[in-house]
Amino acid sequence: SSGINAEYGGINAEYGMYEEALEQTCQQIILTSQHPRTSIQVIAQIESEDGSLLAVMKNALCLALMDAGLPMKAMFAAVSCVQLENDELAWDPTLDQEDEATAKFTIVYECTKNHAIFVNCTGVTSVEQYVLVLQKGRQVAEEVFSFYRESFEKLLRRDVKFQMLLPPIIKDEIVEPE
Amino acid sequence: MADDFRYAQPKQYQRLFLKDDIRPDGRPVTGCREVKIHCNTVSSALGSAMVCFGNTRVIAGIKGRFAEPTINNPSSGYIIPNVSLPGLCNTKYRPGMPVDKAISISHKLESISTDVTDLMELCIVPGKVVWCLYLDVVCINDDGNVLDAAVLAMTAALFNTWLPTTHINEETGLVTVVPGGEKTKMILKFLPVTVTLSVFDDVTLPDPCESEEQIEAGTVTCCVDENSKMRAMWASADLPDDMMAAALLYIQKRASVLLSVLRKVSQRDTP
Repeated sequence: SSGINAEYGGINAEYGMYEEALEQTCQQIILTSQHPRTSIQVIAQIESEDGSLLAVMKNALCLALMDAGLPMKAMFAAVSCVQLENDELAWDPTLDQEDEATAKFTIVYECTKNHAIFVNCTGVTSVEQYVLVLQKGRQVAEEVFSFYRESFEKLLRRDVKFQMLLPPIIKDEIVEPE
Repeated sequence: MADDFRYAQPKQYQRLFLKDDIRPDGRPVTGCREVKIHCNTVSSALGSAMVCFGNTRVIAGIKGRFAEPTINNPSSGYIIPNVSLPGLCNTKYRPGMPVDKAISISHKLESISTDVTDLMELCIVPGKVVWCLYLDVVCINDDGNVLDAAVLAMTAALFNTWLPTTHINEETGLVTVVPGGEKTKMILKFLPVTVTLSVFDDVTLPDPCESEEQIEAGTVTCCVDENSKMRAMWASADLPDDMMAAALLYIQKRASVLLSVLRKVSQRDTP
């Protein structure tokens, strides 16, 4: 089950679809057979909002699931894109860009085969545009995956157990000023 | 014997049929159930339609009410969709709070219906009185794919909605409907239909029935209009690109079939 707490205000019906989206991704990704007769509750607390909300929520969800140590089929990364007036695409939009947008896309890719496991698209667009977004979105998802990797490396570096496994940090040579 | 197996191992049961390129209800793998649309089924509503996909039956009705416009849009009316899946449509639904599925379909109808008509046409007195159209969608029988039936019923109901003329009393400012007066047909900017495919074991099955919905791995739903523009897309399935492309092609073909049925049924020009 999932719940979304808005930044301010009480219950927000808008977020009903987002709650469903989080639940769907959880059901696809978490190996629930490893935890029978267990309820997993996901709560998303929005601290501040400036566009790409669903994508950010999904990415936070992935990191939270990893932090919780829940068994997952794959890691996943969400990308967000909007189609502007002249059919141009803007990736990772801000709230202003979303307001101007004619269509909004949120796509979640999983890391093993890079398949899209979740898509939410609203607005007026064409099938060709959607296919283009699906393909280009993979490259953007790569950046999110590498960010996951960096974050976890930084986190684990503090733990002695893992320091042996991580690649050593090579300090840059100090260049003497002439 | 077969029923026991179906109850005990539903996925294996489905797989045995798919091996012979057929589905348990006798359809081919890419086959859809017969679509029937009846318009103007509810005479007390401004517009209504009943859609049957095989055994799945959904009724949509438009009820108009006078309301105050919102502060942000003082010259626009509004459409409020509400989907109900009552206990009578399927034993899995209990009476009480709306089921998650009903809320989810309501949200989807809302995102499709926001642009479907020019809301300024629903204005009666700017800033004071506008039409508020309650789009009530009730499922009579849930045998799978209620979303598609609900969207088609919504579109058919809106397509056959006739708004009565209103009379504004100059002294009191009261707005009333002129009984027996002329009616204007509501103009839709586009006709949205959705097509849902259920994903099971690397196969996409269009128009899933209830037993198939229980065992599916995910769904792909796409909303297109009569000009092949994509209005919405919801997918929660692990789908490789080539399957997604094939699904989209199928969706466009199926959407044009649904629209042609809709047009054939709604040929009336008078209320």
